[in-house]
Amino acid sequence: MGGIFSGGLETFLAPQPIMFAGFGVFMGIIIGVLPGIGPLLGVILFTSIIVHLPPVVGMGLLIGIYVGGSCGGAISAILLRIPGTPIAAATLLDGYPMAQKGKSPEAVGIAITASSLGGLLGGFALVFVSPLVAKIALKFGPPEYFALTVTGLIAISVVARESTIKGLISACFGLIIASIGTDPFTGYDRFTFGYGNLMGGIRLVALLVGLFAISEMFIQIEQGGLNIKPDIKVFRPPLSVVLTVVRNFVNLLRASFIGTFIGSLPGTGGVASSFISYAMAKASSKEPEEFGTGKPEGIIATEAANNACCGGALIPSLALAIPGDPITAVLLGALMLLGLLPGPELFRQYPDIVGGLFFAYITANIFLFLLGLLVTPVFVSILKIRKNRLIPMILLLSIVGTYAVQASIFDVWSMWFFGLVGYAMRKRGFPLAPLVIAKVLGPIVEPAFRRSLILSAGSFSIFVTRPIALIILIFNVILLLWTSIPPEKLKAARMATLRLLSKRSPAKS
Amino acid sequence: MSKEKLWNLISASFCIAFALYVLYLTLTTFVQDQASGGGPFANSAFYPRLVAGLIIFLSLLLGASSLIQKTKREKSRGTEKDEPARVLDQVEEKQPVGEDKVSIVRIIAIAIVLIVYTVLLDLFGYVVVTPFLMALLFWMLRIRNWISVAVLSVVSTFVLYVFFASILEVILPPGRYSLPWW
Repeated sequence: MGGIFSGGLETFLAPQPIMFAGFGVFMGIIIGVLPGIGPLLGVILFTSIIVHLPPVVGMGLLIGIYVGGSCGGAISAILLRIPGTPIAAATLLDGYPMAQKGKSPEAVGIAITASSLGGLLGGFALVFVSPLVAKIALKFGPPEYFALTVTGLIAISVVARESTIKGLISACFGLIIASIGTDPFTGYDRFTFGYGNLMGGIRLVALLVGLFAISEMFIQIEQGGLNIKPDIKVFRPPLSVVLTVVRNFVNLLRASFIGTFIGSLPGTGGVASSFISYAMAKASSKEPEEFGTGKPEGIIATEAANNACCGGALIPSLALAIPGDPITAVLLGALMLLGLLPGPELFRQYPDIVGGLFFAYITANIFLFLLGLLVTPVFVSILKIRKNRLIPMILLLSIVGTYAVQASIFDVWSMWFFGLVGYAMRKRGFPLAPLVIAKVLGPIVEPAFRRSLILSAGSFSIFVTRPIALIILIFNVILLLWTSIPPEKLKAARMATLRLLSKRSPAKS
Repeated sequence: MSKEKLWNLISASFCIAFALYVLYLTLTTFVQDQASGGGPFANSAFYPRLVAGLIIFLSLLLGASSLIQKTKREKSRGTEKDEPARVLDQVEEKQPVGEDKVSIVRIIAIAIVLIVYTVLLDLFGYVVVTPFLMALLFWMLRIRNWISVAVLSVVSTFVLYVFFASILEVILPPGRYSLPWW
């Protein structure tokens, strides 16, 4: 642990990493503010840039975007009732009514303060828990690793709001795409059709940018409303909002714990944590009927949870190479692009880089607090940019960024292909996240699977005779069976659990 | 049969066709190249075959569940959604927000412009082609002020050029005539 801190401090404490983390937060808030863009798109677009930077600097930039973007969506949720990102959806429940009462500066200020403090608390969990998890995972062998990666794939498919079956199919497509290129065991070129460009496989950046950025831009164009300019007054939040948040420290701590815990579960993400935290805050409040009318506690509960989720999601991502959500999947992909394999070996071989990432995360949340409160007028002004100016710029950045990774026009063509695939998938209700996670985990899943079979001389019994692998696989089966429970029964179970935890009479909805 | 069910069946069929093609490749090309025999170490075809088989199974499940289960619309009839579900639906279903909904013809035209740009990018380079692309895109997205279009096109091209070429030292496509010359 000491090596992680000292190495991390040495790696991160320099002007360039700190500057890029701050720049990342700044860009992340801007990206999060704009409805329809979101931190996932921001992280994807900037992944093409970080390959030209040192690892801690590049990852600090992406982590900054992750942290900033997770908060930025709250600003448009509060001012326009349109969350910039799905994870800010719960914030509008009290944020928008508070803005309607003429308290927009306070609402935005509370959201930013709660986000940064929640993120910091999530960061402390990341710093202290992930090395412990990594230490346990060092004892895992290929069968355990295979079982864990399957958990990551199933979890993200199961929690997709679209059909679970479609999510699993999407994940399988990702595994096939990941197998394109040179077989790591035999050196045989699979599915390359003689093209030299495919020997290294489909470039992750081309796939990500195409699937998410290109498809999203076309969907945005299709929706219309490209010339709308919201009528918003620019403001700066009062610093008294800090006291408001700190006085609600119980709510803040509870929300941060919920966010961190739920974020650490693969596949769950910020949306679930913010709504659960909101429900808990309401159930625990002395005035539950005031929730939904502009209560600061509502904003604190949602924003602290969804930013603490970022720290929580990084725990399984860094320690086990199991992404907590699509954004951490992209972060893992970025680490791989930088030549670093996420997982317990990263903690053993590169403790300085791990420590650098920890410090980047903590610093990003500090920057979120400072930039978020002091530079709010810029972020609010960004909301006035019309989409018909923004979309061409994002398309250009997508093309140039994808090309820049390997100076390859083939990558740009791959990007267009996956743009078409992403558009078709979204139209037909196939989630994209499982495909991305499968592509990122593919280089881990297949070798783990084949090594397990090599160890057992081809027998599948190795997955059931190793206790930890068996437990994880049983958990996977339970996870799959869980999706067969009708949603109404799940909702009833969820409400009953919340009532039990809050130890109060049933909350009015 | 509802539209949603029909599309699910079509999607399932497409997935099965894709998986069968993967299986076909592993049974022909891989076998010809002697890459499909032996144990887990030597058999390059085993893992893709397994995944392709999984796709077929899941696609059959998708097709069957589409025929048996109610569609989302049928399920939601008469069911009141709670606040989180309503809020999320509002965010995720993305209803058109403006009267200036763009026609499918225009969307296809934008796609064609981008494809042509990629071809010309390789021929003439970033600096020459990009301002025209940006101007065309801004115009197609209904910015009619020519001064704004010209300024935005040049500025966006220039900013990205400075950022990638100067700061990150990435070589942007020079085209066949290696532009810019400086």
